[in-house]
Amino acid sequence: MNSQGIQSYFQFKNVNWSSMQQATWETIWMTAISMIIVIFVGITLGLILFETRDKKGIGYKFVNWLVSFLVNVFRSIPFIILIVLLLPFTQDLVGTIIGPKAAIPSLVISAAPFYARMVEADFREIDAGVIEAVKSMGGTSWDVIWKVLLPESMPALIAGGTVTAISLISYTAMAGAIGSGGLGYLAYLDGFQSNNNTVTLVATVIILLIVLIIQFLGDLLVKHVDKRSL
Amino acid sequence: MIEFKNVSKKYRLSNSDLTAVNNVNLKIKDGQIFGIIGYSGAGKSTLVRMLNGIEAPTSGEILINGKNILKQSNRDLREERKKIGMIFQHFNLLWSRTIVQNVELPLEIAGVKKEDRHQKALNLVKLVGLEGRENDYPSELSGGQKQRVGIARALANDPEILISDEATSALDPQTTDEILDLLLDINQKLNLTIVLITHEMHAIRKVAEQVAVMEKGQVVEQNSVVNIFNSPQAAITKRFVNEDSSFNSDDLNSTVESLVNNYPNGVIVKLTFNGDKAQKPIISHLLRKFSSIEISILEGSIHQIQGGSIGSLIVHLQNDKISEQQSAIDYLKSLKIETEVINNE
Repeated sequence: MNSQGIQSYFQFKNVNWSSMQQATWETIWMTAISMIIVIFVGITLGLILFETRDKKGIGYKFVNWLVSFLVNVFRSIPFIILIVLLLPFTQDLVGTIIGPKAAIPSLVISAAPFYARMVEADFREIDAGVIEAVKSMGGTSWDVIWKVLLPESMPALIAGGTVTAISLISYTAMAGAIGSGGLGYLAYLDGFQSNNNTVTLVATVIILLIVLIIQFLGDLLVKHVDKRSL
Repeated sequence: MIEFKNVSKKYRLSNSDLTAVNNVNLKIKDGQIFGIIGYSGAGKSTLVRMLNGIEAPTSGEILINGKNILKQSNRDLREERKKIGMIFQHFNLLWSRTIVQNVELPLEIAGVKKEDRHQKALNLVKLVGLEGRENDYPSELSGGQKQRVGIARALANDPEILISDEATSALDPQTTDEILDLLLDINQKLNLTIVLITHEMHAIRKVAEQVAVMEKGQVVEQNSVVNIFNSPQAAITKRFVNEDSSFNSDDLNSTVESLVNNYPNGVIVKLTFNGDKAQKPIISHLLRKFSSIEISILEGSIHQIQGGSIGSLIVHLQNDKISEQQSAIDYLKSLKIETEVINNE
């Protein structure tokens, strides 16, 4: 086997296409499932951060402090360390520490705080006058959330979601290091450890394609929901 | 009837206390357009935000039809707010909703059924003159049109009171007049009480019947608009009256100066008419009576205001005999016309 030189990238006969396909689906599956959970958890945490910010009352201050603290902690731990750190937790939660399913808890715990901070910032961008207008109509806090905060920040929420989804893909590749499956795992196992540079290249190209498609769809959706400049 | 009784609002800042509203007493009758004028920071916005309970006063009470707005549960307060529409300087529309959906918003909050609220919103869009634009988004409208949507939205829950918080301050003069006309029209059609906050005397003159002048959190003067224009008392009120562009005498001063130079003999007199006197042919009476006097008109205007009209005329009187000039002025005074000699050398 020749692992030297540029031509080693183009030994396509060495690629096991069915395992490549399998790995591609695993990457998409891990990203999609964790993204769905990240959206719910991230928006909820972002909302809690926004609503408890600058409020009087010890309860608000405590909740804000606690959520802020957790968000900052989990956002700061490097993913590769987090996934190892969470192994026992993953074992208890999903019953296994290998395979795509086992990657989900770490992916969510790492990406949700990241998204939550973006969501909070997006809500703060909303014109306070519009919130005041809804309150002056007799609107409740839920009215403000459902009729102002979420719809008025939708383009920003989607744009932030796109960024988060793309970083999730790179996290799934890292999760490959502990045997999560997916393209990162394949590139590591068949590409690096078996000295098969073509597998690494193909896995890279597929990841690149997925990222580009997500960015394209995200931009398209932002454009569709943004009615500010028509 | 809206009553503010000894209402004060203090804010605690990091280093000091700020009294935004200081012991305000006001009575606003039903169906009236009540103006509150003051420069920014005078406390007018804070004052009206206490009316719908968005801000709570530090002391004093606010009664709407005898009911204390503060002594209510949050739920009742929200119900009360549905009877008070509000429009804003920056419109505060939701850009994510179409025009008709924006107007539907307060109806959604009030729990009106879908078909009913849609129909009602369509009628309101029509009332404010935006028929055909129902499914456009706010970003496709001009400032004046956005404010029309704001007005339609504020009227959705059939309010008894409409608060206009600097609603015309972001608009050009022409659009300002259109919006003021619309407010006047709505006031008459729906017999709605309108509380109009502004820093433009022009808006007050055009639509308000009563006006309160605010400075540093206090109401320094309160009167009918006619009286305020005829005899402003407080210094700040005089400034507001003078600021009103059509009463502004900047151009005039230079004219007066050159006339004084050109005709050292004459006198320049400012006449202010109000009520029915504004419509009488006073100058021709004067000419007939004092045929030897030369009169040239330097500036004149008549303004319709709520509850009367105000006219002002600046004339130059000239006669070789000073006594003749003086008796002409005395004649004008005898007609109960406010007469002010501008250049009395």
